[in-house]
Amino acid sequence: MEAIITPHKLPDPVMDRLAGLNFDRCFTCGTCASGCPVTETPRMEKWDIRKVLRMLYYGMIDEVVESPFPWVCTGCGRCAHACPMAIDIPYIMLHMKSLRPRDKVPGILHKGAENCFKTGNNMAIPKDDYLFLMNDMGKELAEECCPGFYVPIDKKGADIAFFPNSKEVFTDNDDMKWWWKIFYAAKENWTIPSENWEAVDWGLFTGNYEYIKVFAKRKIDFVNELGIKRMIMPDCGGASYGCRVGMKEWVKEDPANKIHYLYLYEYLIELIQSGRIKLDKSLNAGKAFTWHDSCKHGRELERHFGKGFYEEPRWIINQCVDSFTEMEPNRGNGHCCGAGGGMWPGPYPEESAWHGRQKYYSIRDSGANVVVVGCSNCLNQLMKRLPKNYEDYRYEVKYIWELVADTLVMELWSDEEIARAASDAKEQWERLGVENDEG
Amino acid sequence: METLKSNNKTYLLDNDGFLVNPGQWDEDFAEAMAPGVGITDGLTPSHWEVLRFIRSTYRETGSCPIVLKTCKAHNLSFKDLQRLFPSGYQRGACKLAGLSFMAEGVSTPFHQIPQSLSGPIPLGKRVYRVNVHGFLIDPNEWDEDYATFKARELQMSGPLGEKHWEIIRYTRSEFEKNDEIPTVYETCEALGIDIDELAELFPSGYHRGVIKIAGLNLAAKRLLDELVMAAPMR
Repeated sequence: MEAIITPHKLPDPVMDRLAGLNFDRCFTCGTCASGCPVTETPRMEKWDIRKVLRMLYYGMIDEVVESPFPWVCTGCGRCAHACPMAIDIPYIMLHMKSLRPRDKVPGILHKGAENCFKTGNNMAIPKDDYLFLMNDMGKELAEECCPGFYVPIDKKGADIAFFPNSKEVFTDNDDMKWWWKIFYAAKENWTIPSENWEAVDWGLFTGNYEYIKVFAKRKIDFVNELGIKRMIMPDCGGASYGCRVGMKEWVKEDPANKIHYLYLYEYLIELIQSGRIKLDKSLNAGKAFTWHDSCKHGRELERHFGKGFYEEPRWIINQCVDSFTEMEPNRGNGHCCGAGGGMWPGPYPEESAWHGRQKYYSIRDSGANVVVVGCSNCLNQLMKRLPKNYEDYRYEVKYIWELVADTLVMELWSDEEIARAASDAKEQWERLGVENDEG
Repeated sequence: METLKSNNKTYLLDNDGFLVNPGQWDEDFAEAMAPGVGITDGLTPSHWEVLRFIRSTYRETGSCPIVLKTCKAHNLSFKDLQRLFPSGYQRGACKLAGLSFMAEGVSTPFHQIPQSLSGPIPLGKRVYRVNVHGFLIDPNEWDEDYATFKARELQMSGPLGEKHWEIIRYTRSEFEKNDEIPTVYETCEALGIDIDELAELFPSGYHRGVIKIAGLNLAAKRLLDELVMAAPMR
């Protein structure tokens, strides 16, 4: 019988990289494919991760790299979580992404990453617009409910560094206010950067190792140069994960690159337990809430860095609501929403919706009215894409910090605090060259 | 790649339904796209104000304005904007304006992008050198925006359609291949159109219409040979 495939060796650099990820241990049990959301994706029914690994075994590197498969992988890690041989399959897929020429990266992902590399944010929003927005929206919040509030920018010696998401800067401006309300209520000494402020890491989504490092270094430098005590890791699972990966590489090169950071869950718990913010559960009465375990804050973070955040978000939610219900499966076994790894902004919306089907069933079967999430990609997917494709069960979606903000018992600042903030704000906007209409 | 057809024109769209070439935008595009973004009763003056603002900001700065600037410019709240564009700012207003935040990279005060990497210069900053008769001196400076604006300058009714572009592109490609501008008869024969039809498409005529809009001129080859390229490039 004529051979259909002629096996050949993978190029040495690829083989070295894959060997470091335990690739050579695979015995094709198929456990990976059985839990993978990509399996049986429409228009890719003949592809699954077990087969892709087998293709690599035969040296079919070009076929894998040129296929859409690495790009429809969300990096959720269910494969590696279950793999009996501890093969780092998500990192193998990441490497396959990295091998694509940049002009062949699907959709807008490379453009966005390049924008961030060149301008400091994915959407190439000019600095003037960014500052104008922060000034204006800050005033809006001050007028609405938080007198004295302003957005501190490049504040030396702040206790907390925070990084905005360009999606919120470009269009979803009101979404920024939840974190702002929490900072106001906690009287937090916080700041955001004026430049290189992007939270989201599309270097991770595009397999661009250089960009992953660059984006992490910008955050390290901002914290170090301004003497900021700690950084809240960006919310997006991909962003905080890319940042964590990048930071690890920089610390290996020079321990002076080590900065203090905490995840948003740890920060919120700190605020709640210390009494710096107070919550009123009654505001959320009458609804059942559930928690969506984000892959990169849970399973993948646990696998690579030894700790995932499962119990912390549940504790926070239980401080805000009386009725919490679990989805099944959950925690490390939870289903991916289908939007990770660049799938939300990527050019495969139907595939992404297909990947999210199991998550939808989990939500539906939980009976929850509100799904709480810790990642902007997860929110977009669960709130916008899945309901368009799965219409039987309706639910709301909230960020966990949105839930906390909505549950706050707000204590307004004193006149003295307001006056001090106004003086600080005036000095800041003058320094930044922003017209500040105090009327 | 998808397409949108309207009034005998075909617009190329990317997989997310955004116009691939912002230079191809015209008002017909916006009208034709409107139902697809949830606007079923036609575009009102309020819609047009927003779309024109987005496009003029893009022309001046090379980037799509953030939603706050658009709202402030028109005294709209976010909810007002949502009512006008139910699909949202990016997937509604910007899409109808033929733009997205991915339309161009942009130089910023803190990071200048090398020209070779930044893409086309914003229209407001572009310079085209024309002779006293209004013909582009250097055909290499031509682009589709030049053609669009030259057509308006010649007071052609309506934007350039598919047939116009076919003729323009044919003359340019023939010039590039042969260093010669095809005659009106050669052009008509090659494209299977008759002289009357061409006259209707380009009322200013072949030389003062087609050739002018295509950024060519009869002296172009001689001028290029005489190193007019020594003049500073834009």
